Amino acid sequence: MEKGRVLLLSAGAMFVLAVVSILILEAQGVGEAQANAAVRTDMVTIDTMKAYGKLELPPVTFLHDKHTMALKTGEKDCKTCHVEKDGVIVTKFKREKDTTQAEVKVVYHKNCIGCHTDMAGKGQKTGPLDGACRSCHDAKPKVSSAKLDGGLNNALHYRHTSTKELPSTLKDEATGELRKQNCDRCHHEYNKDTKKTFYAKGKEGTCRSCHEAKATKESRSMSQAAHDSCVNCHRTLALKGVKETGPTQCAGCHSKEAQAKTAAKNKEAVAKAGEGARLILKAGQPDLTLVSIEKPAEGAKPMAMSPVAFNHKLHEKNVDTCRACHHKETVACGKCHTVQGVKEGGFVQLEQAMHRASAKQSCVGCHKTKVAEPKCAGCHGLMKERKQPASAECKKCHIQGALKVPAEPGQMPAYWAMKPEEKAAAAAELVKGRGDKADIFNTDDIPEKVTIKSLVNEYEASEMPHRKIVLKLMENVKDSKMSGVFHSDPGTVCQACHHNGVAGAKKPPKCSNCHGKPFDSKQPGRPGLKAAYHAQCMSCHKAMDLKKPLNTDCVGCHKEKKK
Amino acid sequence: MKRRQFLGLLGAAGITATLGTEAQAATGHTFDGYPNAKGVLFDSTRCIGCRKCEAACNKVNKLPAPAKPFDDLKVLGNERRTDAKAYTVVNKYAGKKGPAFRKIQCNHCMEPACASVCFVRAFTKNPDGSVTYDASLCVGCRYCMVACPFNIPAYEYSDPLTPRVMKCTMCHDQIKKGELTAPGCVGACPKEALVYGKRKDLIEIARERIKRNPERYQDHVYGEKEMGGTNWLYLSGEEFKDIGLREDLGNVSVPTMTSGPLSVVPMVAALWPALLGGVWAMNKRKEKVAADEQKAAVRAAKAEVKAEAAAKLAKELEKAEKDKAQAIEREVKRALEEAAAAQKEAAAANKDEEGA
Amino acid sequence: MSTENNKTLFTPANIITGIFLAIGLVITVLRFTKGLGYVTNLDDNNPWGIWISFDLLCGVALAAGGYTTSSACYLFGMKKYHSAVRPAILTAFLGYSLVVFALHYDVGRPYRLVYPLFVSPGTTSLLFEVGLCVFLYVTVLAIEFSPAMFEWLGMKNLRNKIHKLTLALTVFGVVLSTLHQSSLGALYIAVPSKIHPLWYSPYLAVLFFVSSIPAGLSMVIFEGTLAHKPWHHMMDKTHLDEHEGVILGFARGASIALAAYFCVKLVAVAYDNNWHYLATGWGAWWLLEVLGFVALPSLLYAIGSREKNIKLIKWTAALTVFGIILNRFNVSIVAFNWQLPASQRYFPSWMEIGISIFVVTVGVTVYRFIVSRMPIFFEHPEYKDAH
Repeated sequence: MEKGRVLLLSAGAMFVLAVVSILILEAQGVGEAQANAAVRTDMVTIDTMKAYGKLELPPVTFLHDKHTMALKTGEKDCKTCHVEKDGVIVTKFKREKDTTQAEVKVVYHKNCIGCHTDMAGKGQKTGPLDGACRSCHDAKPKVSSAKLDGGLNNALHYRHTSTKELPSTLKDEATGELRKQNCDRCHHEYNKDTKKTFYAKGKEGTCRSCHEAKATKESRSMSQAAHDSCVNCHRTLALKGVKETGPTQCAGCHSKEAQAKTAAKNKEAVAKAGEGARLILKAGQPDLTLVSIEKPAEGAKPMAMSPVAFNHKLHEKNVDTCRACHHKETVACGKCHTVQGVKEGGFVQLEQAMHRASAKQSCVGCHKTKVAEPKCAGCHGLMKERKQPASAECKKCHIQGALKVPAEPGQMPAYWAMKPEEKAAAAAELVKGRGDKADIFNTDDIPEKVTIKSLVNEYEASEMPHRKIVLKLMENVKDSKMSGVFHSDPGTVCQACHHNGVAGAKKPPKCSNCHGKPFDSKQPGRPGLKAAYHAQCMSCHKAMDLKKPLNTDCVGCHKEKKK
Repeated sequence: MKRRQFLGLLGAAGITATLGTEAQAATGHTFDGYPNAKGVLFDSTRCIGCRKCEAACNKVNKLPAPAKPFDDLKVLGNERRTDAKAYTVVNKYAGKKGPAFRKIQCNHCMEPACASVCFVRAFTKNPDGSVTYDASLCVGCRYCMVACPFNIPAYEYSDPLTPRVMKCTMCHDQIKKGELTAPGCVGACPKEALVYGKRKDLIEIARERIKRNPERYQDHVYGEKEMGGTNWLYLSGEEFKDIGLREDLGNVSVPTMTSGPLSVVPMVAALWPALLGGVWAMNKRKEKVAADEQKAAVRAAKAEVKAEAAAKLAKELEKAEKDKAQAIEREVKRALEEAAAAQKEAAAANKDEEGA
Repeated sequence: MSTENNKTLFTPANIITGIFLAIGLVITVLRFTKGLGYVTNLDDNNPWGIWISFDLLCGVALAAGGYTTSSACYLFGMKKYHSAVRPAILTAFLGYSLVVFALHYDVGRPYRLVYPLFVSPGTTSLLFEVGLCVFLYVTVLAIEFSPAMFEWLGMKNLRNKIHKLTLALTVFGVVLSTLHQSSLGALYIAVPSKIHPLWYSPYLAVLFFVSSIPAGLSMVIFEGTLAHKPWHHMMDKTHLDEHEGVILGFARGASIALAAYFCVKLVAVAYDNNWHYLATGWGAWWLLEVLGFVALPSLLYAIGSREKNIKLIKWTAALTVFGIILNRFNVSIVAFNWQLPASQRYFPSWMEIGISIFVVTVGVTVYRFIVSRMPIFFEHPEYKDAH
């Protein structure tokens, strides 16, 4: 082979080697870029062009707060980028609505790049200029979102209703002066024909009853509605010079720090309001009522559980928002969830709506989430997972007691036909008979120390401070009225540890009566005695997040036996 | 080689292919493991990382004391593995729901890789479920360590002449002798995170625990199918890969993987001799035919040359004959002419005499 | 016959040999008094190191010249390679003997190396397969080599008797070689979870067997090249005349075999649709191995054999040999335990490298002894019979 050929081949080989070495080096570097991405709460994805067809370039990741903060230094306002219509800032960029694709594109390019160019001309640090297309249209932006959902809970609602900065715009018919309650500032109904909103007293529901996650023909999306109403109002107040007003920046509602600050301020306000304050003004909701089935069909015989005496005022106090229970609209559950289920309620029957343990908006489900707190989790973690409440527990809510209501002989009293006042009265009557304070046996009946010595081997007997533990548990139960109701029978608290025994028995059976030899193939699920003790105590300690004694600190519970 | 020799070879090759017992794979038998095989179920949600199991294993197997005592829980900060002095270790992992612990030891597979790849059968899968090691056979090739997908067997690299492979035995000897009723680690655990029993019962227990407490557990019993099934089963609250159990091992056991290549061996031994012998024979035949053709060609060439020479000779002879005949004729003619001339002369002389 | 007895023993080659042998002996003592842990960097996660990768895997692959050459000459009737058979058989015999020798260092109890054959055969194991075939093949090679020794010793009858077995031994040798070359690859079929997908395949047995063919052919060329100058005086006319023909012919064969190996490599990647791995760093390494050390030598061999460029072929042989070593190392060390963090990966200790060099040195020394005395590069005048 001529020399030339050899040289060519060697050159080819070197080239391959070079390319391969570069690839190897390149491949080793992968994975570091991801770690340094910035975390922001103000990412807005501008993908307006999607509505016109397939995107030519990736959508723009726009950092809103970054821009508004930059404007602040120049004493500018939302109107720099947004138009104002009827006193309301339109959230679209520099336009009221989308026209043609070409026009919208020009709006963006001319104004974004134009502003950048102006600033660059003034020598200021600014964004990408003309020609740097991919600086904005970046498919893999080096930012990630830490945006939390914004929201209005009852405490924040209270601050809105109690502030002097938001007076009502309507006059009280009776007195002729401005109404004391400012519901009309935010709450509205919508007239489909006139396409106008108006205030309807008594129908102040939650925003999300109509404004859902995605816009519909009749209502804006929740996000749009919130920004239109809330942010605009905050802005208007700020312009007027009000010091304490809501946020206008993205981070002000959507960042973790801002939300923590707001929560703290909410807590302060609620504390200031005092014990008896109502966070949600009374607007049609009952304080005490009967929860029962709705009116049955004509002629049908009603078959249902006896009604539940429901303290709505107390529950209001113990939830964050109305939507914790009224997940769709602020109406009675039975309106959508009928006994047999209808389309409106997603075919979820009343029974499920009330009792489904896995649904947080059902009664049982919400109660269940409360027992997950460390205070309660010790005992409740030990208890068997149940899909439905035990039948003995029904009467804690469905109190069966005498009811002084006119009823036809042989027929159930027609709860559905009662007026609110009558319901309240009946409920009050029912509740009287129900114990609502946690109770235990007499202190003398509770052994002070229990010596566990049946398995002494490497360690001495364990001296368990039994009474101290029980009294501590009682203290944990003390504050909550709900736990009071459920633990009102004296032996209830004992049941967590002394399980599978007779409820209410003062002298529960010994653990070793059932737990003996481990790995008995006839009792596959039953732990042996050593594991029964350790699992019981340690699981409770872990669930309650106790730092002392640590599960791995053997001598914390039993001393080591000297050999 | 002679034909008989060749046929003899062929016969030998054929016989080797038929030797051996029935190949189970071809006959539709399946072996689902010894029916009463025992196993251990480890529940990671119960384990508190107290290392009592490690201490018990060390005591029961008379292993040397470790560098750090078993109540030192700081070692859990490092990810450890089994080694020549520790049949089992407990590791701590950062789970999503808090720290999670896992005990590492031999998983006593239903179809163990170590037993399959050991070329002196030093490992045995016993009917009681345990996989045990016989140090009196081991040559020290360490293929078992290469093959184990869980990286369990450890080796006494510090021993120059009698090193052993070290791994958990499920306390097979101690249980057989009656010293223990359950493996040492199982008995020592205060939380019964380890349960000892028949493998099929353990799977039911595991499934029951998952059913009763679905948020507590991952819906999977690790070891039920992995690598063909193991006798040491795992339950976990965290994902298994987050507690150091590989989820990408598949459900095929190592013996199944290697059965393919192994089955080819007798076929090669049977077929190759015939194929290669055939190649050789074909070559030999080709050579013979070539040799014969060459011989024939030589003979034909020789004959041709001979014939040519003979023809030439005949031609020459004929020519010579002709020449000779012609020469005789000429001579005869000359002689006749001479005779005629002489006669004429004589006649003339005679006449002269008369006429005088 | 040999001229070495007349010269001094302290030639440069002998001095280097002596140094390596001395170092090797020292490490040997250490190995058997202090154990594997002292001498190697092996640990519980990496139980096999270069003593397996190089001494066993590469040793067996590169000794494949024995069966390839003898089958080419005796089975496929290519008589022009006859002079290459004895050197190839010698190399193979020494190669396999060294494999067995080196194994005594690696296994924990070398005194039990006969156990799998005679005490407790583990027939489910591919390592048993390897062991049995290597044991039988070393025996076959010893028998195949023995005529050279008997000729040297003048034992005519014995030599002639063994010579008659040539064909049977050759066939048996090919059978055994097929089995153990492929079984060495099949060893790694048991560990899919530890080998990178680009190097693992259920076809590993086929890959190792197919690659052993160009390995053997290249090794014959390579070591023929190395031996040509120093042993020129031992080579007879036939050997010298046939030398170039061997090189050209083997180059052609190796080119085809490498091309086949390249195709099998592609099939192995396609089998599990592992193409996307080629876009990673590992993929680049794989491409280097396959393009630079399989495809490239195949091409160069083809060019060299067509243009009768002996020099190019000799360099290509070296390239191929290196490529085979690279492949064996990749499967057993580089891509093995690829998922472990760098701190837990293996790198040989200097003592392990020392023993590997020692083993090769022993082999070279025995080779030099045999080649300078026995009829390897020449035909003994008393036995110049046609085969």
